[in-house]
This record gives sequence, structure tokens and C-alpha cells, in this order.
Amino acid sequence: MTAKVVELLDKPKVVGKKQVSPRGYFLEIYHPLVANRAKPGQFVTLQATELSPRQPMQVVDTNPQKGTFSILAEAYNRATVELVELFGSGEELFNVEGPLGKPFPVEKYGTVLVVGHGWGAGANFPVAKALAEAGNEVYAALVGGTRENVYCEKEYKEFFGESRVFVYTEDDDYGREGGAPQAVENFLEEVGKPDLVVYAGNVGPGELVAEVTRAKDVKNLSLVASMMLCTSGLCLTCRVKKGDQMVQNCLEGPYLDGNAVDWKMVAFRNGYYWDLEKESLEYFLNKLLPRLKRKKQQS
Amino acid sequence: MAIRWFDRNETCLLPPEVRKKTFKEYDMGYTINQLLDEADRCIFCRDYDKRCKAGCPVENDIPVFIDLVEKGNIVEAYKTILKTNPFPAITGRVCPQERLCEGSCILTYDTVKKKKNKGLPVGIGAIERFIGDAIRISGIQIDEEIKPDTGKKVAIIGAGPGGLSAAYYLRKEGHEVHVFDALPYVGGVMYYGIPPERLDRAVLKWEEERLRKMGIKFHLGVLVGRSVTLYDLYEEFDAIILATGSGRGKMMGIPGEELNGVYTAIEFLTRVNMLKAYKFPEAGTPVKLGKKTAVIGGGFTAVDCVLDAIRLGVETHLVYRRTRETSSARDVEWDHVAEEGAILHWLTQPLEIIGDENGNVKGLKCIKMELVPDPEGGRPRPKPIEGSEHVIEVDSVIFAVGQEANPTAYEGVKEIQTNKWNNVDVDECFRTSWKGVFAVGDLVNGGDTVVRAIAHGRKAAKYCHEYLTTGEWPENWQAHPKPWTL
Repeated sequence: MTAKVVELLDKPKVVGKKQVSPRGYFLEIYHPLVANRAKPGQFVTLQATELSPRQPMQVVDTNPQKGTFSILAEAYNRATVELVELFGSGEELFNVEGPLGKPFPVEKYGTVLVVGHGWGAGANFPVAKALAEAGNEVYAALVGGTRENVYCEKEYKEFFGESRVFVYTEDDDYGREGGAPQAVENFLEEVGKPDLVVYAGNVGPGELVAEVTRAKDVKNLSLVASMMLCTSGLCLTCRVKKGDQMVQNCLEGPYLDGNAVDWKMVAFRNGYYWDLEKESLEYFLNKLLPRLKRKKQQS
Repeated sequence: MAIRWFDRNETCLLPPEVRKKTFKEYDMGYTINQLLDEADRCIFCRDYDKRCKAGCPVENDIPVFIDLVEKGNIVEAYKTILKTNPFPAITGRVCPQERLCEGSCILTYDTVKKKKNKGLPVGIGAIERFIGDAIRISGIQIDEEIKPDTGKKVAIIGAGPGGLSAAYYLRKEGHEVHVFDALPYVGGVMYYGIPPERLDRAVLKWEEERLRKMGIKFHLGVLVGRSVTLYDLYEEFDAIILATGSGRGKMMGIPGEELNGVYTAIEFLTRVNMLKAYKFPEAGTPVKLGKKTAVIGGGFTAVDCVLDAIRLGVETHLVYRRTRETSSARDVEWDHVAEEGAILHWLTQPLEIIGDENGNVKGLKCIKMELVPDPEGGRPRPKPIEGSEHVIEVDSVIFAVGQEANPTAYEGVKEIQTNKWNNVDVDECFRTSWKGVFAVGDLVNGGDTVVRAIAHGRKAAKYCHEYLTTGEWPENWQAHPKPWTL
């Protein structure tokens, strides 16, 4: 018996925070609707305060009984830095919209290689589990720029077994050397051709993974981390070119046919605000955060 | 007493130099003395139901509330309006009155004899706004009469004007009302679309509080169709009202739309009005128009984009393929934005957005148009003038060329019949093809005014209440052939 929608609607708050690397945090968010209804591959949009940007975040784990779900936040922009600096012990969030996006099409594909770059390892975790539970042979590659952003290694190894999880770092500090495309290439060489590659992470490595899967004719479903704004199907900010059609990633994604996506356009559009995003983050760190900290001390 | 044909009171506007630097409201409305003097101009036509009232989509009893103002009873005037329109402070601001109530005022047009009169209409919009604002700041609590609980539950999808109006009238009948919206604010297009310089957010906040005090429940951050399904809600509620609007952005399909710096009106307005990019970097959401921008379109949304762009300090070009006279925005608003420095390019058709080597917008290639008679006798058509291609140098382009339905809530719900525009078919009582589900506002008519949606909301609430009371639903449901006339 699933709980009724109206019984699941409550004010969202961040009830737990666990730092797992210098920039990586797991946040546990109380939001019974998402906790009970989110399916693997879906995301939420967090707006921490009224003046915060809206930030899409993949749901990494859910706890329906507690009414909570977890996200993996890599604090690198205004929205995520605000989240980890100001939240973690029961503070109310301004708004959480979700669950959003289309659930990942969990079917029996055969052999699946799940590649998570940085935070993408967290994003992929529920998808990987669901694919395994649906009878697929699931292998995982966890890729970090450095060892500090290899996430969820323990969780993957516990679930899939040591031999099925490959760890890579781009600076060769830990695990095998190489990035996401090398992980796919090595897999093709050492294990064989998978029936599906699932990718999640930043856009740059996503494009490179797609180059490999296109060349080797491997099905590819990738989380496309395009810029988003309203995440409600209105604004077209998240439009992504897929083949010869334009799709609204917030509605049709976030996992799209990676071989058909115009990754260059996504990367290009994502870069439009880079200078202003930097300014926004610096303003928060240098002006807003000290002010908020002083206020907290005074009270 | 002599009829006062011409001495209409005009509201005071902030001077252009002042208002173009602030996102605060620039139309200051009537003073008390103007209000009373303007009320005095109304000649209280006995057949007003064929005149101003008929011109008003919600059918406000206009002379009745003007009479109450004259008699010094703003509270009763307000209560009179509430019978037909829950939000006078909003409609008094955003209605195109000159083509609705004021356009049907006998001083300017005799709707019975169908002939023009010599005078200027009574300032009905400003009077209505004053009444709403006066109650808002008076501290007077208007107790809403709410009938005893019926035990029936209604889900309203969309917290815009249509949804809120339906919520108000259904709650008054004693039903339990839950309003769902994907965005974090109550107001829908009135929040993400209409800019604060035209509609002060304090008004929206106050209206929201009123509704909350009546016991209406709001669930913000729920995208029906993704977060929950319409089927979930159908199971849990006794009736549903779809009021999801027509908010999806559109472009024209001209080359260069993939360049950086190209916005839909919705994206631009959402960044500025909802996420408060005008407070950047204190607000974290940026907007990047560069030094010059071009807004394409000739409707209300285009005006809203121009107002916002000017206030961001950007040189703003308005590009429209028809003339000022044939644009759908109000004439006076073009005067306002021109005074603020907007450069208006009439009879100009965009052909292509030109990018620089980095893929950013650097210009808008256009062609001049001329009006030629329509061979079929329709209104004159714009035709390109050969050899008149030219480039307007801009760093960004905003498409305000219309919106379309966002069918996320009812996509794939086969019980609900939709038309070729993805809008929902309804009958004359706003019933959809699915028993217990109604639809109102822009998703019925494809896009109309705030006040039209409010009218839909009220009427649908009445039919919904009837349905909840009797359980009756037509066996031979038939879609209304002209939903835009509802």
C-alpha cells in the first residue's frame, strides 16, 4: 500500500550532512514525497534560500520510512556551496521540486557498464542497483580527476563485489590510470563489448565516452548535465539537441541517448555564465557567508 | 448634472528617468481625491450589464462598486467585487481595460447602439486597483464566508490566476482545496512572467495569505506528470481542476537560435522576476544580455521583456514584423517603454541571429516589411521589401513570440481529450472528457488574459461544485467547438 500524495507533502529540510572528501558531501534531506516516489534516475531541484540559484541534483538513495533521500553534493558552485555551508542540521530549505525527470528505463539489457565520473558515481548508484536487480550483469567504473573525487567506492564494492568495480583516476594517484573513455575502452578490451554503457558526470567526459560508444556501436544512456532553470517544462533553458530534434532535458532526461546527444552544444551552453557564476560564488563566500556567520555568533 | 466627457483622471507614473532604474512599480495609481473625482464621472447606466459589465470577462458589477466608493464604503465595494473577482488589486493593475470594461464605457463607446462616443472612459481599472489596495493596507480583516465542510477534496493543478480563482470559489463552498504548483511561488505567470514593476509582489503575497487563511493548502515544488501523476491525484481527490496555463517558451525556427545569448521570454523573465537576477550577485541566478539586446514580438510579453531589459541597464531594441497599431500590446505601453529609451523597430522581420567566432550573439539580421492589402479581404499583410536586409547589432536576443501549452500534467493521460495545439478540450461547463476533471485558463483557450483565466476559474468552480454535490456528469460529453469564446 503506497502512501497517499497528500500525506507525503511536508516542508523540506536538510537533516544530515556527511563530508566524504574535501568538496564532497552527502546530504540527507527530509522530503517524504521524493523519499517515497523517486525512481532510479530521477532528480530534484533544490533552491536553498529565496535568493539561491535552482540546482538540479540526482537522488542517490531514499529512505521511505524516514521520509528522507540523499544527494551527493560536490561543492563547486554557488548553489552547492550554499547547501554545504548553511545546511546540515535540520534547516528548512526554501524549496525542493521533485521527483523530476523520466525514470531510467530499467530493462534487461545484458551486460551493462556503469561509468560514474566524480559525482556521477553517486548519481548512477540507484540506476546500477536497479539494473542489477532486473537481471543485468552490471560492472561499474568509478572515475575521479583525483582520488578525492572517486565517490561511493565502498557502496559499489559491497553491492557488486570487488571484481566488478574498477576505479580510475585521471592523475593516476589511485586505482588505474585514465578517465571515463579509457574505462570504457579498457572494458571493451578486457571484458568484452557491453550491451549498454550508462554514464553520469560532467559533460566533458560524457562527450568522450560517447565518442567511444559511437565508434564501437555500443548503446549509451548518459545523464546529460545540461544547464537547467525552471525544471518544469517551460523555459527551454535545458534544451538539448538529440539527433535532429530538440528535447527538454528536464522532462525527457536526465538520461538520454548519449550517442545521439550533441555534447558540444551542451558544453558550450553550460559555459555561457562561467564568469557570472564565479562572481556569484565569490560574493557568497566573501560577503554573504561572513555576514551570516557573524549573525549566527551573535545569536 | 452635465456629463463629464473628457476630464478623466490619469494615474501618476514615475518619471521615465526614475522608473527605468527601479524594479518597483511605476504606475502609482489614484490618490484618494482622484478616486472620488473619477467615481463622480460614472453616470451609472441602468443597462450597465450590456456595457462595462459585459465588457468585463469576470462580469464585475462596476457601477455598483463605484457607487459604494462614492458613498464612502470601500469595504462594501471590495466585497461587491469579490463576488465575481477575488483579486481586484491584481486585475486593476494587469487588465487591458481599454479593450474590456473601459472600452465598453458609454462615455467612449455605446455598446448598445454600437457607435463611438466622444469622451474618455471612466478609469475603472484604477478605481478597482484602489479598492483592492485600500483593503490590503487598511488592516481590516475581511471575513470570508465559508460554508461548512463538505468532506469533498479538490486538487487544483497550477497556482496561476485560473487555479487561484477556482480555489477561492471552491473553498467558499466548503470543499477541501489543495493547490499544486511546480514552481516555488504562488501566482504562476503573475510571478514568473509579469514583472514586479507592473505588479508589486507584495500584492501577490497578500493575496496568497488571504487564500491560506481561508484554509486553502498549497503544495509548491510538485510537477504533476513527473513528481506525481494525474492518476495518483484522481484516486485521492473527488475532483481535479487543470490550470497549468500555456507557459512553454517558443522560438521562431530561424538560424542561430542555438547561439549563446538567445533566450525565450520565459527563461529571461523567470531569471529576472522569479529568481531575482536583478539583485545579482546577492541573488545567485545570473542573466547575461550584454550591452544591447533585441526583444522579438509585439505582445504583452514583449513589453514585459523590454521593461525588464531596460531596468537591467541594457540598450533595448524591440523588433516586430507588423505595425505598432496592429500589435497586441497596449498603445500606451509602447509610449512608456519609448520614454524609457527603448528603440522600437516596427515592420521589421528577423531573419537570422548572427554569431561571433565564439558562438555568442553579435547581431540580428532583419528585413523591412511593408503592409499590403490582403487579397482575401483580411487585415493588411506584411510583405518583405526587397533589398532592405540590415543587421541590428546586439549581444543577445529574447524571443517573445508566443507560448504554447506545457502538457506535462496530462501527457499520456488517454482519458483527457486534447486538440492539435496540445490544449485540453472542454465543454461549455469547463468539463474535460474525463469525469470529475475540469480545465481552465490558457490551456483551454491557448492563451488569453489573467482576467479571462480568473473568469474561467470562477465559472469552473461553480460547475465543479455542482458536480461534487450531485455527482452528475454528462453521458454524451462534447468538446466546445470554440473554446476561446468561453
